[in-house]
Parts: sequence; structure tokens; C-alpha cells
Amino acid sequence: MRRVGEATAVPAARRALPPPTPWEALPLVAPFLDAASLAAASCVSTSWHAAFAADYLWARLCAQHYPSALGLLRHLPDTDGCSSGRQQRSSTHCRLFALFRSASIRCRALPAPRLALADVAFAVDVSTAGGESIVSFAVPAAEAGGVKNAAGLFLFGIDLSDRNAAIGPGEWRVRWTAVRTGNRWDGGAPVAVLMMDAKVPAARAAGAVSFGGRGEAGVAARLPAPGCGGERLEAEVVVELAGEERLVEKVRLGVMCECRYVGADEGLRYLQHFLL
Amino acid sequence: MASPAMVTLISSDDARFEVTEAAATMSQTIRHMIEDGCTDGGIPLPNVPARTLAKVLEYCNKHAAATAAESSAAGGAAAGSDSGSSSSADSAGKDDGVDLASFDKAFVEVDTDTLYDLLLAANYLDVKTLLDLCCQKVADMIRGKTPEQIRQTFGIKNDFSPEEEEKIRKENQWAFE
Repeated sequence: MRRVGEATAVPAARRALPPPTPWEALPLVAPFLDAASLAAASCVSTSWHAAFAADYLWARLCAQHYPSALGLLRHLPDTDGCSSGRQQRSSTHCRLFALFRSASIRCRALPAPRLALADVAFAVDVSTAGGESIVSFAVPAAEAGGVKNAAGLFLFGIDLSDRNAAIGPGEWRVRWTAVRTGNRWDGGAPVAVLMMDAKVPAARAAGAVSFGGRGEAGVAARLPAPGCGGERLEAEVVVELAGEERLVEKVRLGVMCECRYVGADEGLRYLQHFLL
Repeated sequence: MASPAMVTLISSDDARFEVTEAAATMSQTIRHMIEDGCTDGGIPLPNVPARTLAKVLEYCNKHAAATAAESSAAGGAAAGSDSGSSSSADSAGKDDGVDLASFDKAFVEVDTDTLYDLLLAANYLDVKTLLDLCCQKVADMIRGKTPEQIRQTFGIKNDFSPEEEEKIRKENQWAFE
């Protein structure tokens, strides 16, 4: 008894295969591989690339994972700059898949900030409520280290113990300005943004130092939104004080989000909205 | 029970293999040849060398026997034969199930050349389950590896030019992140 259904299931071509060339059966394996393995396998050699970068494979993966991407196909420029003429360029669908895959990775990991710590300097003025200067300094962000365990955080400490500056018991005021110094943008004019201009009330300033020891007084203020909403960032300035004379030992500058210091990259990403 | 129908298969290097029709027709290619009536003097398989054919037939014999045991066990139970033989056939069937899975697993534990020959032969002979088994094995050997590790596993030469490799690697960078 002949079963027609089975007979037609076998393509005639299979009955007369040419002698096998190395790994000619690779395309048979392709449907058994996930996208990442397929991509890795296509980097192995030219014949593996031909088998695993085939357009139909990736068209199917696109349809499966990113069906909407297929509608974009005719809107995207053909970015292939390959002039070698050999068939080593990836298929259109392969690139489309890569585009959408990298998009989903990016929403978990933001791109690195375009602004570097080396591009930024901080200027801080601490003055009395009456406007009389107590202590002022300007420092490149890259040199303003020295805070313990601050690796990777947008948190800077500036040692001012040699200034012999004392903060009196009354209200005082702090102004922190971030400046893009423009070293890397040759000729580009520097740009500045005010991070904070806040008052430290007399009560808080008075309670800072207890029993003539060490203490600190600080202030945090909401940073203006960079225009993309959402983030509740605050700038914080803390002055470390020592002794009866309330000498300024150190000033700490930081950016916080919900009471935690943000990472250096996050801080720079915020600053680049205003400084680039 | 009549003695099983036998067919003769001839490998590309003229070795002759005598197998039951049940085992041989696990290959759809051979099944169609038998249906077409071109079995006189043996069935020539010009694409399959003896070494590979022997291996494929080992697979087919095992699976055909398991299928036969299964159907006879089912038949015995349906016929209501005495309980002792029925239960023994039953347990034999179960053993075969476990047995077949471990047989399959061990069957593809071979070097890559043999695996590749099997893959080609299974494709040519159209033994669907063997083809799937081989493809799955190759896929398992590829999965989770870097291109360099794949080359080592399968003994493949990197024949990209440095520029080509750079370009292709860049295009597939997402897979390595």
C-alpha cells in the first residue's frame, strides 16, 4: 500500500545528493539553535556563516520575537558598507534582529555618559547669611577624591583643613556650581550649572559639633529635573567640622537619589543634560 | 508468526547488509524504494559508506525491535493471554522505553566526524528520529560556546579574513554580552 502523504514528504532532491562537502548538512542543525548560539556559530567560519546567517533563519526569529520589527524593514536604510563583494555580510533580518536585541539590552544598561569626570570642575562658596565669605574653593572633579569607600559613587571630598576657616554658630549658606571646563572641547566655551544654593539654618549649624569633638552639618536640595522626568535627584553638601572653633576640615559633595549616593556615571549622565 | 521479511542494503563501498524490512523501512528513502519495487539484488545506497550504514542500522534495528515489542505487548494484552506473560511483556515494554532513551544518548556519544557522517546519512536516508537526534546533539555541542570554542570542538579552520571576522563579530556582538 502506498501512502501518498509520506511519499510527497520527501523532496526528490534528497535522493540524489552530491557527495558531501564539509559540513554541508549544517543548515539542518540551525532550527535546533537559539538566537545567541546561532549568532556565535555564524562567526566560526565562512561555511558556518553561510549556514547560520541565512536570511530565512533570521526572518523566522524576527517574526517570532519581534514581529513589529518586520514592519520597519522598508524604513531602515541599507547600512551595509561592505565592499568586499563576498557573501560575508549578514542578512537584513539578522541585522534587524541584532538591532532589536540590542535595544532590549540597552534598556537595562544605559549608555556610558559622554561627559567624563575629567571634563568637570566644582566651585563651592560657603558664606555667612550676610554674604561674608567663609571658605571658597574650586577643584577638578577628577582630583576631588579622598572619600572613603566612595569608589564609583558620585561623591567627592575636598580636604580644607589647611584653610583655617571656621563656621560660626549662625545661619550659613552654600553655593555649589558644576562647570564643564572645556579642555576636551578645544575652543568650546565652558558651561556651568548651579547644583545648589541653600541655607543651613542656625539650629542645624549649632547642633553640629557636640562636646568640642567632631561633627558635621549639611544640606540637601532637590536638583532641577533634566527634562526627562522621573528621577528624584538631590545635591548634598556636607561640611565636616572639628573642635570648639568649628574649623572646616572637609567638604563633601554628592548627588543622591532617595537617600543613596548615585554612581559616578549616573551623576555625569545628569550633568551632561546641562553641560553638553 | 512468519519469519520477518528481509531486505539487502548495499553501501557505497559495496558492503551488503541483510536487515529486516521493519528496520530498513524506518528510512523513508528505503521505504519508497521498496514501494517502488526496486529491491531486486539489493538496495544500493551510493551516499552511505559501510561504516556509517552499520551505525545507522544499529539504530534502526534497536528502534524497530522496540516498536515491535511494544505492539506485541499491546496485542498480547488485548488478546487476554495469561496474566503472567502479559505482565512480563508489559515490564519489558517499560524497560525498552528507558532503554531506548539511554541507547539514543549513548548512540550519539561519538567523535564529531562520525556524528557528522551520521547526520548526513540520516538526512539522505530520511530517518526522521535519527536526524533529530543528531541535530540535537550537534546543537547541544554548539550551545553556550564562543566561536573559538566551537572551532576547537569541531576542528574547524577559521577562514575569515581579519577584516571579515572583525565585521561579523561586531554584527553579532549582542550574542556575547
